[in-house]
Amino acid sequence: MKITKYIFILGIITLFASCAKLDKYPLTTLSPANFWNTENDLRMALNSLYMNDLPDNYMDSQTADTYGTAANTISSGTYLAPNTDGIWINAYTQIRTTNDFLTNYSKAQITDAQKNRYAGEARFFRAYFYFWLVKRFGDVPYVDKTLDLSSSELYGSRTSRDTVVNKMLDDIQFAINNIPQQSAIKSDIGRITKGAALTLQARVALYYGTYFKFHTEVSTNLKYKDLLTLAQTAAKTVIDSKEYSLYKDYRNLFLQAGNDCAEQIMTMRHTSSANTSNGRARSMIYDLTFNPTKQLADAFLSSDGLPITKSPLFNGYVPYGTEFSNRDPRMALTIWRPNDPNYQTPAQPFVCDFRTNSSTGYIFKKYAFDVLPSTANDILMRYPEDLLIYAEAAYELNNSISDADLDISINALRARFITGDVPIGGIAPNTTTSSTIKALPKLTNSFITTNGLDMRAEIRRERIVELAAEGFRYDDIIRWKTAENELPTSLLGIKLDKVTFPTITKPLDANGFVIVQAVSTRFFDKNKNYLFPIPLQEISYNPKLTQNQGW
Amino acid sequence: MKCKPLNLKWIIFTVLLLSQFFNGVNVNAQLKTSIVKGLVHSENNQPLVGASVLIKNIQTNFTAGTKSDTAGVFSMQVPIGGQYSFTISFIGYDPKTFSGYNLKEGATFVLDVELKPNLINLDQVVVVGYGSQKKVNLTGAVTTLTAEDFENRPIKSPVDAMQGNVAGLTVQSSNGQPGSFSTFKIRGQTSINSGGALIIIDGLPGNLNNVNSQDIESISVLKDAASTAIYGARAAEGVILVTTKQAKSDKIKVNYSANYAYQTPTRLPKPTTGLKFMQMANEAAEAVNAADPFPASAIDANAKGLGSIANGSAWIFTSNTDWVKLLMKSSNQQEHNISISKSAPNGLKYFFSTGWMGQDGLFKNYGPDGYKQYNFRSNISCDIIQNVLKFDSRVSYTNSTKDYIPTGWSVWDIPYITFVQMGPTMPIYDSLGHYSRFRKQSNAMQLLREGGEGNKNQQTLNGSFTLDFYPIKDLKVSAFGGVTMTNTGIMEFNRTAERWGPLGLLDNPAVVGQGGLSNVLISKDNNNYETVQLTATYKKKINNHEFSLLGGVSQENTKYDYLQGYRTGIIANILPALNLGTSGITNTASPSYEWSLFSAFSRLNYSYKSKYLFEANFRADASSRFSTKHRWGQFPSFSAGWRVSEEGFMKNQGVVSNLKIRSSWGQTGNQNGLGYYDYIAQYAVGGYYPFPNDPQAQWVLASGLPSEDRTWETVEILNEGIDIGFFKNRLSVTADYFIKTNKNMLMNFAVPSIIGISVPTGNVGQLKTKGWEVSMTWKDRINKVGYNISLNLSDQLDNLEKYANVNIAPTFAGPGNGNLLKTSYTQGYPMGSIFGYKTDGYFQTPADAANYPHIGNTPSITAGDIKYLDISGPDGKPDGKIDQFDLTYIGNTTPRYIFGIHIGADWNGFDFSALIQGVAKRDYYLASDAVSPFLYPYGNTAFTYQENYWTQGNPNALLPRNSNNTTWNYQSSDHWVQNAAYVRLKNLQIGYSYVPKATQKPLITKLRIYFSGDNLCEYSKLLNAFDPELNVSGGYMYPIMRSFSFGMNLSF
Repeated sequence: MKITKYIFILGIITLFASCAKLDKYPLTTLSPANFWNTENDLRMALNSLYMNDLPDNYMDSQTADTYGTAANTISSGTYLAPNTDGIWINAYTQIRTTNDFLTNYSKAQITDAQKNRYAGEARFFRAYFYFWLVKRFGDVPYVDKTLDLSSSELYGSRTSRDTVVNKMLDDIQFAINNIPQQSAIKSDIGRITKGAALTLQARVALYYGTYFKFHTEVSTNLKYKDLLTLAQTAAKTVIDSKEYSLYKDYRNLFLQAGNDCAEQIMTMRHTSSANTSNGRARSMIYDLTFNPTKQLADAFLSSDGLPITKSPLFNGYVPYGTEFSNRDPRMALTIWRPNDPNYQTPAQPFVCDFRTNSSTGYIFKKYAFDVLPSTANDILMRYPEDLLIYAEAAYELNNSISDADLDISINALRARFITGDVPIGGIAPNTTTSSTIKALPKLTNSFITTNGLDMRAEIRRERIVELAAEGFRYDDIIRWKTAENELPTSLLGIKLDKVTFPTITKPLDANGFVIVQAVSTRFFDKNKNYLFPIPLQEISYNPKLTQNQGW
Repeated sequence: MKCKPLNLKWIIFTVLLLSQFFNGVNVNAQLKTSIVKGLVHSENNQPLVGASVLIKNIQTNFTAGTKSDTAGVFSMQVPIGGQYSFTISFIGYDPKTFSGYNLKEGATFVLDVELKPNLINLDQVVVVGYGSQKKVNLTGAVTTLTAEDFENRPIKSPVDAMQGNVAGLTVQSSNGQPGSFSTFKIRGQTSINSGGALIIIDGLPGNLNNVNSQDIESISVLKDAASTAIYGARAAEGVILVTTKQAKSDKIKVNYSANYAYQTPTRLPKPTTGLKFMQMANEAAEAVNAADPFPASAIDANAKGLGSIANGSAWIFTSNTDWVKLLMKSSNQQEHNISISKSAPNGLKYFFSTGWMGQDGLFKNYGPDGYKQYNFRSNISCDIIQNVLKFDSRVSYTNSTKDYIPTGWSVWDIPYITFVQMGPTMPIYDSLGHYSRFRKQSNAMQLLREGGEGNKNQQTLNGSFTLDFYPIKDLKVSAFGGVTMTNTGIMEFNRTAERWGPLGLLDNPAVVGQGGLSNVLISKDNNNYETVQLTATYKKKINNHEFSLLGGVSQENTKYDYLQGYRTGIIANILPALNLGTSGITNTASPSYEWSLFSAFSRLNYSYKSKYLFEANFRADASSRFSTKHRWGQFPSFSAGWRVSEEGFMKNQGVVSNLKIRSSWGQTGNQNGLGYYDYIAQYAVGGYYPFPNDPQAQWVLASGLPSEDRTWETVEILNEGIDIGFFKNRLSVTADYFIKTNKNMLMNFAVPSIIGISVPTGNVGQLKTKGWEVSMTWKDRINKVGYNISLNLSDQLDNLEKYANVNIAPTFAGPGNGNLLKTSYTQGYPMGSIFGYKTDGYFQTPADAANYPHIGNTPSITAGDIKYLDISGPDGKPDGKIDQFDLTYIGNTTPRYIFGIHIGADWNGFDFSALIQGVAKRDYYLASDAVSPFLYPYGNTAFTYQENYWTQGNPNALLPRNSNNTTWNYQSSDHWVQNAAYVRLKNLQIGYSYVPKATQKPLITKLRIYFSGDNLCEYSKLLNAFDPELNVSGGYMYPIMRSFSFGMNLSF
């Protein structure tokens, strides 16, 4: 009897043990084994890269062209070596995604051309993210496979910048060779195209072409002329492809209306259904991430093509808003012109409110102000960059440029505006200022000599004003090696007009311009600040990583 | 038998006996009755006045009651026949029952009743893992609370009742919002992967906040590994066993209790006046050469009593509004509970209860803010076959609903915007009658009234069923099955509301706060937990040897499902329905998962002559969360006790009445900090990227590096304890010392981030926590006054002995503004450490500042800025620079020296109790938005304490100079560390119990009415704008409440 009971109990225990199912598998994730089959799998494996492509709008806050609500530590020279660095982490995270893709994509059962197109996208992005790393940190560990905890590469040393640049150019060349032009994949707007790959090639080549030309203190095996030639060729290929053209409406180009116009080569996209929005519109108006300084405002030419210091057409700064008369039409479309309709209440003229708008007295108009949250594309590459790269590379190769080359680049860009036109989508100027647009005259070698100008300065100026607030400026002053001169200067705002601003008390310089950050608080160490510090944590985890000079 | 000295008792007794001969006979002859007489007295022979006497006769169904008189004597005439039983009870004493008496006709039956004071009960049975044990035989560290500790206080959760009453328990709150509950830790930190103590309610893992505290019979807090190891892999942070009530009385007993509480916030900052704020704002702007935000016209408007003046398309607000006072005045809470129970002689017992609690929030008058909870419970047990088969079932249902204002971004909730963005100059309405708003931020009043609603409903159904089978003598086999089903539904409706300027509507689809377009989020989840257990217990006593053996197996399965829908652009902006959205349904996340745990466990108890006690536990757990390589974990424990007081040499002294020395060692596990499938390589599908031809293109991403090499965290606890009772246990003392070591804590692998993927945690850390606990109780009665005082004090300190797989010198995050708290776990320091600069007041002259090293090249420091100390450099010596080498340990936010003092007294039906609770050591870090009103562009208010800033005339001010945008002063530094030690009158109760005269059939058996006050007052050196009990650094949270409540408790 007792034995039966024990057997009964034992039986229940056995029953227990047998129904104990301890192998559980994920319910909502895929396994690597059942993925990598179709074209759509490959596309899905790349899509996160589009979402994380590091829109760079904040980069301008690191320059003297803008000032936010507080002194920027980078442009003030007060940046300290951090433990971790967001760009370092994000770039390597995306690079791993590309490496994972490149390890697995060939398993898909699709044509080689299809496979190579997406491998091209992956390699495009790998180069794109290495560019972020290498221009910020110089030599960085180069990783081109997926590492795990036992990989020795984790604890390797930094790869030389030359090598990384060459690898990037290889990746980009593969992308150029295998990704179709936009017109061949029309239904696929938003994905990487041959044009985007070429523009990246031109961008990288120009960056290092000029960098090595001006940073003679840096030793490199790369020949800057080769790079500049590559930049020029790539830009020319884009121009000749006729895939892209200038969008007439410089105002709407940066708003929703301009989404996917023929000028946009690579963008980060937003929709309310994907629940993402373009942060620039908000940051320009509300968060005051950065506002234009006098330096940027002064860069716009007078409508006779001369700098304001030389132009008889320049009417001075006071009364408030006068400086906008007789200027490059892009000026009033980049910076909010006083007395233009206000962004919040279009029935009212805009007058800068130092309290809520800007500490400089200027506020950006480019990218501002659409419906919030804005679904305007964040433009990462647009056609004018190719035109500007072409002109700059051509000039820097020989320290001269032909009028023909200027015509297909700078002058093509200036021809976006036609004299007499009111810019489409732009705000019709009110009666107090000139009612017609005056397009800038052509830039020619004779114009330079006649007026005692410097061709390099004018080519660079065209870049500064065309691409203002689009994230190029900091890279430019680094590669031109002008940061050491440009950053340690006072940041100024508008000339304070006592009629318009009777109650505003601001520190002013001798000429009556608002000082937003005095020169005494600005620094740039040319032996140190051309590169950023390697994050301290990375060095402590991997002692083979050496720190950059001066940090 | 010893001869007792002649005393009052004997005199009275003799008189009683004699009286029988003179008058008893006549009466009896007529009525066939007998007389029952008795003397009720205490141990020291003092007569007890007013003791209740209940006389019962089951056969004749006779019941009567009486009370003792001033001499302690009672007398009653009763009919003869049948068997009588007599129950004598008196408050503060253990009741006594005499039963089985056949009375003789005409005779006088005399009882001598000596009642013993209801002191600390050594025979108390304590619920332990998978069983129960006599308290005297315990060898582990266990604290128990009983129903008395829960009744009659307006508590939101049993956790509130444990605060201050359990030594070694740290209770903290993050806010006082209805529906938010305090969190607690047993014996300090156990792991950086904390999941809290394992809560077992009637055998099922559960949530303490879902139990109606009025239903609880007892709570056992198991603290050391000897008592928790039997719960194995989830017991590392201690185990709390909750047992609900079961019927005790063989009569139907109905109990009704109700409580109404009025609540006001404890400590809140007081805003400055509009004028003062404008002056401060202007001064702060001028300090950085910025324009005055408030022009002369604004100050003039304030003087004239205008609320706002137009400034172009925007308003300048010029009002005098105390938003804090306006919005945070008071709230209410109500509670009602009814229970019915009966324990029938045939073995059927039932206890049914229902309870309802409603809490209104502070903001209830303006918008959704409240919490409601109701519970049902049915506890039924019966003997299927007497003494052979017994069935027990416990089923409960809890439904709770929390109403709130949803905010897309949690920190922008109502109290926060009130504290940070609703300045005194901001009126409710601007001069045109629209809700005023600062920048794009919200107006709390508008948000409350028009901003939408959030609603979280949770339903929990628990059922546990036990079948106890006694096949042979001393053996009990139990089969236990249980399910817990939890369904949660969340609806959050963010409504678009308008923003107006003086010239009209601003930015057309303007949105309230930071939330975006009007949107609806609806989510549903359900969690199903099932378990089956089989246990067998065998108890045997052979001469002086007493054994008890427990063995069991259990299987647990959980499945969790989640579904969420989100849509924006709600048509008409009125109804929160997904189908009214204009966007596609997005964010449909579904992180469903399953896990299983199979376990086997056993326990051996052995005692010799009840003097030498020994216990061993063993549990093995197999979890689905690990690869087959590391699936099983083993958790042993051993403990021993020596009851010294049972030894012969202790018998002949009257001081120490109980003495036990305990010692235990054991291991438990922790599986928090693990995902459900971490050892399997996975690709997660998620996100959306809007390609035109695929507007919601999803992406596939590797979920992280899989790891097959991980295992449970093993937490080892060594415990030494002593229990002493003095003076017949009037005074009892329990003290414990423990060392708790998490030997292989799961922590982030320090791996160069070029790996580019999230890396699994590894068993590489080590955390050691040492601590002690002392609790003392004195309980006595002086004549009619019973009183007790208990005190508990505990401390523990943890140390992260190993924090990484590589040896890294402590590096602290670079300069920041208070973000170093807690997250910066650093090897060699406790987990709640704060790191920052040491400071030495302020620079008093511009020259002091000018000559002082800056942080990096930080410019523009001057008189009134904080002086950071250069304490070290790259070589360990001061280097004339203020940089990361000067960052050091500056404090600890973990509460230390936690104490509770409980005082209770009763007299003639009145009772009084007070609970004083506090923390003797804790640092509180003031976050920068609490101390710098003008640091951030979104800051729009200032408080009176912020008027105390540095000026030449106020060189030792609380805050540095008043300036806009000086990041210098808001580096993490000891300047912002405050002493948050506190002592608080946690609860005060005064009650009166009405015990009706024992007539034939008392309708009401007990009625108690009381006043109870919670968080009545406190003392703390912390800035009086913040509550020291909150564990947030800014203090800008939903305040916790002082509560004043009245209640009653009625039994019949």
